[in-house]
Amino acid sequence: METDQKKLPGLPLSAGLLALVVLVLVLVAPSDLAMRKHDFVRKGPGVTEVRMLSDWFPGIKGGRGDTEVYVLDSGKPGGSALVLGGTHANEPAGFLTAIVLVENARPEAGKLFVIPFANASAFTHTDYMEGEPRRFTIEGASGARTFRFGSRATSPADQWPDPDIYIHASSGQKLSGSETRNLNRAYPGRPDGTFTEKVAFAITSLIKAEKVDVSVDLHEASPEYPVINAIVAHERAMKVASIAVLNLEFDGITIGLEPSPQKLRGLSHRELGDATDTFALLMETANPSQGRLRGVTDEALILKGRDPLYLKAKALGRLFVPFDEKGSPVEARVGRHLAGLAAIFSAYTEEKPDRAILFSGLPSYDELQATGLGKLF
Amino acid sequence: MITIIYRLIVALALVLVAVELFTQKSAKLKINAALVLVPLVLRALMIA
Amino acid sequence: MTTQVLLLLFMIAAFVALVLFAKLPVSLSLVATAMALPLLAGRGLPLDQLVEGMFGYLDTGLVLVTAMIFLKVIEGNGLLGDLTRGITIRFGKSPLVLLVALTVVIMFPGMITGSCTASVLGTGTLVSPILLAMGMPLPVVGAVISSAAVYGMIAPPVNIPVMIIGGGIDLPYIGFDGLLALVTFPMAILTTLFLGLRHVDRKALARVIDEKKAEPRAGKLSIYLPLLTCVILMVGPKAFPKWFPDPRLPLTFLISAAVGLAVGKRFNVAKAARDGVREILPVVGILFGVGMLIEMMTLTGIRGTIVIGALSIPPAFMLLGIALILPLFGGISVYGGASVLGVPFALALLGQNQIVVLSALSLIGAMGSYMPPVALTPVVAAQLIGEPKYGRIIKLALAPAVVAVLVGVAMLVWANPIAKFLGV
Repeated sequence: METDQKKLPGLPLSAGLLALVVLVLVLVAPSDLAMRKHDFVRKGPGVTEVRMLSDWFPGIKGGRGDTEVYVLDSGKPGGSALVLGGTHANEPAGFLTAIVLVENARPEAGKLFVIPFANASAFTHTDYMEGEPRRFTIEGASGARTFRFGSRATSPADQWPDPDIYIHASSGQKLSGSETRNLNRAYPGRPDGTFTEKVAFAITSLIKAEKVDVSVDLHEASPEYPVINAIVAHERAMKVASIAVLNLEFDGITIGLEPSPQKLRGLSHRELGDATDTFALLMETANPSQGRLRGVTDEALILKGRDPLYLKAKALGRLFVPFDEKGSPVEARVGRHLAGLAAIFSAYTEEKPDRAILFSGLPSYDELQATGLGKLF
Repeated sequence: MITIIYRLIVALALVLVAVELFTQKSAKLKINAALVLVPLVLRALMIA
Repeated sequence: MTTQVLLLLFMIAAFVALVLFAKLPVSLSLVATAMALPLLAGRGLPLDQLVEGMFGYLDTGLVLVTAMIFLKVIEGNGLLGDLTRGITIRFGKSPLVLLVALTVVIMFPGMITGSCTASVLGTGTLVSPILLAMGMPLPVVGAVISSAAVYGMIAPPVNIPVMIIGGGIDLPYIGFDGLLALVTFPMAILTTLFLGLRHVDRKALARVIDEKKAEPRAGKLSIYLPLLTCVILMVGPKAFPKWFPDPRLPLTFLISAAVGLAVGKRFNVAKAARDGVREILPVVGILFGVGMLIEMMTLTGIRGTIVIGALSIPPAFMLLGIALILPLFGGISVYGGASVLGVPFALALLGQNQIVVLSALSLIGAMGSYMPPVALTPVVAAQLIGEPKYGRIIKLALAPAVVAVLVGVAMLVWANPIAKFLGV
């Protein structure tokens, strides 16, 4: 094979190509690294303390899994709740709702813990081959606010390589290898586990240490996914969830109620409910920008949720949610999450008046649709 | 631990592909080698 | 006609023109096409996403590179030659038994890694000289190896397409082993026999056996240590997941290669590694190019247009659509097809037994392994055995692949009765 006389044939071309490689790296690497900076979150009127998740599990201290925990303490007796945003960083209504809470909510009874970037590492990259923009901008009352659009899973730069099959530690359940980086398959987590399991363990530890009464994990799903515009509830939280769903229906917000499947392990609504005393719930809204049927993938799709291909899919009967020309705008999705949270907390307060969780300062669903999301930022 | 080992494996592949970039005669295959280098460098440095 | 359909047509035309007329390597044609798409769609040149797309296949690329290094090592130290000798002598008396044994041997790495490339490069290398010696022409050898490797990929315990689709519809990877074994083993063996049995020349085989017997043995049994290491490292983590850490494939291959350096003949390691990389680099480049192209297809909406097009097929033609489109998409990537099309198809078939449906979809989709432009399995097999035209391999494997697709469709049609009958 090495019959050529010259040791280094075409040296100028090789050197030129190497220079080109370096140029590409110089252009790409800074933007990759910039994704590691957490988005700005304003301390709202209700925020009494900003802590780090590592306060509850030092094993993640200083690492890229550590993340801000905003505490909104009413100072009045009551229960406590945890709101998780950004479990999946490609589900923006989840983390935007959490940010809206931090910046606007005023707790009236009990204590609220909010983690906007639950899987902080997932915000540092986008999913491969998905063509998604890395940032999107909302014109806010205090100027333009830019947020990262991340990935469903922990970055391989933090946890790599994936095994062939991901075996959920406490149940032995087998899933596709890449799910090993999915925070919502890692619960209850392990102190000596993977990066993602450690983050899950820290969240479980917070719930135990703070005796959190209600935990709500905010998600979005692609419109073709069966469990959508829904609350998924652990069996102990079923009654509270049913009351919340009824009240939402009463306000004109159609929402499904799904029992947390016993067999599907590692998810927040299953494991947090099993491993702790918390009422574990999860909410889903419809997000076309993470769907498999989506067309042109850009910032507008994230914010407006309008997509001619999803219109076709709806006509073909492939969707589990209503979908029309208005799309699934981020206002509507955040509005659903906010209304859902309010309904869940008030249902819980009705159930256990001595553990009341109440807050104000947030717009109703209809108000938010009228004013737009920007007014809250 | 496993991550460090795998970064070393990427580094090994990186060196071998770089050698190929300089010893390969065909210009097209040189370009191919250069292409493969890009993600290898980013992963070896754990940037992406 | 929408912009996306025009872009799709442009994409196909540009890619074909670059490969056929500009004579560019497949990888560079993919990259050039990928870069043209966003430019034409008015999205500029999104460098971040172009580079990001390549990462979709980084892990697979590492598997290929390290597997080639391992192969060059066991070729260099004499293991391959000795193994060929042993199997031929032991099973040579009955070509039928020999073929069945060899089929399972080829399937093995694919079964435990979920990758047909592992099969082709792993045991395909061992088996090809024996098949040649039995009198099979080169393309037939390539077809036998490719087919067994493709069935190895979907055979239990690891079937990645099923895992990918399952991940998309929240179905855990449990309860598939029996059904997948029942489908893949008979079909793999029958395909090998169909392709190969008539070419077996008993006289040639007997002659080869005599020749092999006359060859001096490599001597010590220790020469088999690298293979043993490889098998232990592959099976261990699956058999004892609680206490056997999973080294993953690349490290498995490198550890086994290191063991290979300690036993058998001495040879130039650096050269072996360089040769291995040189041979496999075009394939790695294709994978990275595919990743880049899929990323740009998604960004510009072409991917969605294809998916919606597939779903627009009227229900009566749904199965026909699956049978045609899923394998066609395999020409870009079988795993990609499972993710992009397998999930919506599985959702469209929600009323049927999910275990049977996903197994069938993976069987149908796996046949896309033969589909150009990537045609990973026959391309790697051709490279391995030195067959200059991989198209010949595809031609031979086509008929059995069509049968496999039909079996898959039958499974989809009768998913519920099958599930009831088998109790899955």
